[in-house]
Amino acid sequence: MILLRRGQMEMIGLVVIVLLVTIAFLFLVQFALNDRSDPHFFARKQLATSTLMALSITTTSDCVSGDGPQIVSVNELLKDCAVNREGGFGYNCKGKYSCAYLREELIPTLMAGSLDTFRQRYELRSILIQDPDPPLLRQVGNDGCAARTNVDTSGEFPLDTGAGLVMSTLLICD
Amino acid sequence: MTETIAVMFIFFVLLFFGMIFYYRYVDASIEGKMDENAQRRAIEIATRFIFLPEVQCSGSKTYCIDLLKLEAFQKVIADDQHVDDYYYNLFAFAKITVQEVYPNTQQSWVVYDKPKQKFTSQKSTYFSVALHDPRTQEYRFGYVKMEVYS
Repeated sequence: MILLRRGQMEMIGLVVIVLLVTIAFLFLVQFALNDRSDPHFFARKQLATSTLMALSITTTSDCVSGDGPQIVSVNELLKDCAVNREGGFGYNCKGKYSCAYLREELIPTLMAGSLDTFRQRYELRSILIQDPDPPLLRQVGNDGCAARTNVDTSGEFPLDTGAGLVMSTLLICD
Repeated sequence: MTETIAVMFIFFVLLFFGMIFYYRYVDASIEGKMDENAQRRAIEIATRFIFLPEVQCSGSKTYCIDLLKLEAFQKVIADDQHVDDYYYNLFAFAKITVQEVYPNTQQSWVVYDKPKQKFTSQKSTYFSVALHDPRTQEYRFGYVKMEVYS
């Protein structure tokens, strides 16, 4: 009788150990599945910030104003675009006014040589705060960042123009 | 006795599967960490290069490289072994290429090139930069490609 009871006690002990191991195993599985760290976030963030910063000071010699040919920066063209949305005044770049030149020529060229070459999904957007629709500039590359989870932003780059504040943002995602 | 053996059997089976799972998880997470560290090192070295006073634009512009400084820097590194050793301490086994995108797409500068003979991995990271030409007061657009070997 005593031997039988000791056998039962051993059995209960073993069952408890099996249960503990199973619970520990389940916890491990849960932690492993929840670990979704993204090692590329810093690279995306840096690329977004550096691209928007470099892009804003890049100059072009394609433009003329009332004073003749000028070397103007993207920021200056963006200011002109905010003030003269429909053109007619300000800069004329290869027969286009500032907004059209930025949208159709300069920004696509810069992006094609950089973010498109790195096969990076991105969305560049510049809006006039007082009148955000439609945006002054919107460039989407490699299907953009809609419905993506790993999205990083350059942050907002403000630019004071005669028409109000222009905010530019570049999103980069995987 | 039979029950004890059965419970012990189940215990060891569970322990076995648990160990296999744990080993695979640890293996994958070590690979992930190594990848992350290599990526971080590439970013760190690229940042170190971009903010190097020897090539950075004068004034407060960030992510901007002075082309005159860059050309001088490239020449000094290539000509002087001691200088090359000094920059090895900063960049280690890496290749730094500055590529112009606009207006001249063909222009590029290999500033530093020290490949590792037997490397296990190579990580590339990119930073966009403005390339300032003080002769014409133009700011061109380009990028820095940083390849890091480990």
